Amino acid sequence: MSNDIEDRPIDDQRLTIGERLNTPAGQLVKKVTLVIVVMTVILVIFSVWWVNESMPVVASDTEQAVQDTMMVFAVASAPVMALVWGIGYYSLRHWRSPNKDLSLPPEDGPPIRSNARLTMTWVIVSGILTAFLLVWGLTELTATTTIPTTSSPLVVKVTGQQWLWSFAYDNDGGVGSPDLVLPIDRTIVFQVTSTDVIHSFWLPEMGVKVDANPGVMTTSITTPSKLGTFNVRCAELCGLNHSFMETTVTVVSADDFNKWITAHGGTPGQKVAGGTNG
Amino acid sequence: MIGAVALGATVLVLHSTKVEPPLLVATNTAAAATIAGATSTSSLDLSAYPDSTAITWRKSNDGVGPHEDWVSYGPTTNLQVPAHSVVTVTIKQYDTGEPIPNPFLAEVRGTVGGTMTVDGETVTKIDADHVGHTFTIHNFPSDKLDPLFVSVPLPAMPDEVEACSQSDCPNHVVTFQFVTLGPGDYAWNCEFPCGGNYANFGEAMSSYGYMSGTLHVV
Amino acid sequence: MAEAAVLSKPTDIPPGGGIMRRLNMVTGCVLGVILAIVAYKLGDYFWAANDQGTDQAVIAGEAGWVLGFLIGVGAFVAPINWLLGRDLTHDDEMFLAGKNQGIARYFRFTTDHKVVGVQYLVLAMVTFGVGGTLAMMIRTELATDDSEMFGNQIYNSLVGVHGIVMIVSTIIMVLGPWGNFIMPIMIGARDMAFPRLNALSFWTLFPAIPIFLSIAALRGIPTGWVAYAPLSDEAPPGMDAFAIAIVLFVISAGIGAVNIIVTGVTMRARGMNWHRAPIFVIGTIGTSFLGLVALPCFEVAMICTLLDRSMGAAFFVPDLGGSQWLYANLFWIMGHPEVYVIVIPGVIAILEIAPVFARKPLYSFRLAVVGLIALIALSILVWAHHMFVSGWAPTLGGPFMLTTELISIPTGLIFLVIIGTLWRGNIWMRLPMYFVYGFLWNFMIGGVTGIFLSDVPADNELHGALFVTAHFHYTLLGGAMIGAMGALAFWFPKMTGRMLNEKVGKVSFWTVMIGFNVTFMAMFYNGLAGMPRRVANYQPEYIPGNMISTAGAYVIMAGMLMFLYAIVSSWRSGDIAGPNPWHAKSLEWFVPSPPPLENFEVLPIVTGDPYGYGESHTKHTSHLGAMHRPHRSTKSKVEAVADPTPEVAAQDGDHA
Repeated sequence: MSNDIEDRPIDDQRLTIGERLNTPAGQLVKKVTLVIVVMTVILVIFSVWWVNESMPVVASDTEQAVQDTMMVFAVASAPVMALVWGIGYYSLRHWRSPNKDLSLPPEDGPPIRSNARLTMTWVIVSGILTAFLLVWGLTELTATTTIPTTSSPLVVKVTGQQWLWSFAYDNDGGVGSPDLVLPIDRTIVFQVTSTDVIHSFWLPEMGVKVDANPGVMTTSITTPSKLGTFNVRCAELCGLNHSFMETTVTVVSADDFNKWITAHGGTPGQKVAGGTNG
Repeated sequence: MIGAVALGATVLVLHSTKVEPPLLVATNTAAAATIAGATSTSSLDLSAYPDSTAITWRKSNDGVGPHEDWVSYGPTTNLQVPAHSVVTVTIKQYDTGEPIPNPFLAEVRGTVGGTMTVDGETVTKIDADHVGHTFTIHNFPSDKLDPLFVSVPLPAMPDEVEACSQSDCPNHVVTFQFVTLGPGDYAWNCEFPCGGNYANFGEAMSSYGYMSGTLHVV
Repeated sequence: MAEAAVLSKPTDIPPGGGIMRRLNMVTGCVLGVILAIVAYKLGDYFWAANDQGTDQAVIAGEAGWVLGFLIGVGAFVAPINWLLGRDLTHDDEMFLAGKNQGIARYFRFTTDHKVVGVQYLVLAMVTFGVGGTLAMMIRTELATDDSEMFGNQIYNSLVGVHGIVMIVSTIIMVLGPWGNFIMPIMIGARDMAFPRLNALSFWTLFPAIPIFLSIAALRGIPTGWVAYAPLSDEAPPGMDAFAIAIVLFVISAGIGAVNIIVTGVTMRARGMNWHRAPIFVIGTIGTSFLGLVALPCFEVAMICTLLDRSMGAAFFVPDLGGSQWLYANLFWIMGHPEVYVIVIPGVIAILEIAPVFARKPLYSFRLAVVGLIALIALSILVWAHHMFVSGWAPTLGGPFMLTTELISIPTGLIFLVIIGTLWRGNIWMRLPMYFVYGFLWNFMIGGVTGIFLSDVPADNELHGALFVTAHFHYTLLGGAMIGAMGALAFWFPKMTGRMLNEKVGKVSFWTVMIGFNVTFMAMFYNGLAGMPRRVANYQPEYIPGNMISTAGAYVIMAGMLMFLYAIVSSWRSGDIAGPNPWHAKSLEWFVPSPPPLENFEVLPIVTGDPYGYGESHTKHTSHLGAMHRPHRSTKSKVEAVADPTPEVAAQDGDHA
């Protein structure tokens, strides 16, 4: 079917866009575009559903940023996937050789070696898309790693060791705990370290992940935004009982947090020099 | 076909090499449970040896067998306790020790009253510079398991004492109680680095059945 | 001595030789085992006094095995003869090339590039068998949420050994078989530039396989294939075996890469300038270059690990002034380029297949070359995106996010080349073409999910989760592996002289594709939901996804076994293929299938590139695949068709 349009150049300068779309080549572009548009719509719906369905509940501002990013990237990449798959699908549906006997090849297709305009467009569009991803990413990165100047952050010292997390509230009387308790709507600074190998401190519902390295302290920040009990995991294979290196994080109100600190022998806001090693 | 058979054979061979220490079932004791939520009482007797040849169920020397220089809990690390029970654990500690890198684990956590007894004396923590081992039950949170976190440090025998693993060797006796909730399998292990290699967390610490095991709550 | 002998019949094995003629794989294994035992005992004797004795003895033993094997298989015959002043005769060279030795040449130190190619193919299939078995065991363990099947300790080793065996298999799976077998014929050469190095490259890799397997007997590795320090310093002696196997593998890959680069650059037939070289040749050279740059970092890291473990070197021990981040950097400077060493061969195989079955020229050859070069260059500059959450130099997050996202531009160019080639083609749906479409589907998903991971905040959520596992399986298994299966379907007739059974092949293609997408889509789901990698125990909320994933994995296994059946049965009794079953135009299709020793009786002269489909005067006319058509756009078409004479010439080839 391609032979009838073979001799009509697509990029004939003398035609207007409307006329060009009515050439056989233009008709083909229209049909393929339709396939791509339909596929884009399907992919957008699918990926929005998929991200919503599978990702954990949002329990912090960081996680909100993460899930927004996932959603935006999914929607932005849908047309690209649709373009490639759409042309692939169209080629199978309409350009597949109708010969029943596959032992000999069909006759050769049109010898299109390249198309400068298409190549240029492709490079420019992918450049713009990449620039968008980068700007979005850098903006989110800055937003999720800057401590708001208005808040007094809560510092929690996190120690990973094979195969246990422990937490110390050195600014609140040195309370130590095997599970994490955080006040809602307050910026938390995690100071993470390890006594042996590399672990990775992960709060899946809060979008926080930072490695616990021996001999080094790494930091990460977040602001819990939802009351409830969530997971703390290790995300770096750390030996025999890595599977079991899990505990919980409970987000409570500021009052309840102070009560919890007091009940565990601490005093909210009282710094302990050196402190209990969490 | 050949591939499927080969796969099956490999799976079976490896499955059979999985170490499964014999099960130690806690003894039910007659005493009435006086703690809210508990309906029975039971007891477990364990030991922490400096030498895994003291463990009788290890026979072969095929890489999972006894090693003279590997420490081990005994008689086994595969434990079973009843649900909703006050479990009294007695651990005889024969090993020497060193300072613990994470002092958090020199404190008693998750036991009844937050205490344990060392040779009859009630304490809430021990000297972080002389820890032999710890007995730590992990909290593996999930939809079906009740939270359980118990960590008890075992004080070290003095360095002058020559560590040995016979029952008449000098030892510390540590007792504590904890309350089990609903049924489930929990991991437990020693959290004091007492194996070999880097950070002393290799060898006995990283091989299942020496310093680590499973607590079945049924 | 050999000059006196006369070859009476063409089937005769060239005479002469002495002990050289009696060495083969068996003598290699025997000498290897003997030296291994001797070296182990020596190591044990010197170091067993202290507590750390095992590591040194294991390292000595494994090294003894390698040395013994290489001596026994005859790797040093030629250098030793040279040293003693006895150069090899022509008959010796012919013997080394495997002349008239039938099946036996596959078990010797044979220098013919086609023998090496077949050896690599079989070795890659065997290691895939091993890696696949391990994968099935992992999935079987993960079918339930507790570690009932193997337990944590064995599971951790399974994950690590599966990872490294698959990485090694996928690195050798395209460049080994087709880089060695097809590439020299494609460029019109009689053999590789350095035939003996070619054999050495294979026979250095071979003894690494038993070493990998010995990890199981040495209490495994707890680290996964990344072997992160300091966990590797804590590991049992399996870690030593792992490190030695890597060192061997990198040496082998380095020798092979140098050989491929020199061959591709210097031995192209007369007239084959860079514009006329098939894209597979250019990609092969580029990939080899990348491997040569990247892989030695892994070797360095592993040698340091060995010294850490056995001699107290403390390169990576933080308490003693070492740094775990040093290890992570060395590893990922290798680790990211390495995935392109795996993926690019799959891509170029697809680029080579697509024009043949769309019956159209490759769309914008130059764009493909630029895309490949940009991929190779950028891949060296993105390693730290594997360390976004490591805490190392957080300020570098932005720059590495930039380089990582830039990679989507050359990747996009590759996709443009493929769909541009399909555009308005006459699609010939033979088996290799199925894999082109499979590649488009899988690699697109792999690429797009990579974009999420390139974003630092999103990576904070996804790093170390199953999402990453699913992502790289989509690129490595769904992209590279599908590409390699396509390459196998495409070049199988050339290598064996027989057609691959298409009926079974197509069924297995669909089985693998469906199983693959089910398995790893479920894994994406669990990963997004927060399930970490490399855990044998997980929370019950992930059970449904894991059940689906495990079921899908068994479907993949069924498909792969069918594909294996197709290969084995077709190799023995497939339809005779003839020299050019696909009516393709590159040089390898103009020699008999399988090609004879030294490939070409007369060396070809090339006058055009091999993609001149539809340019009528070149169609099936040239017995040497030489084409006259330069690149041109559709605009210049009228002038271009005006020159109808194919220029085919031949010259007497000098004996190399």
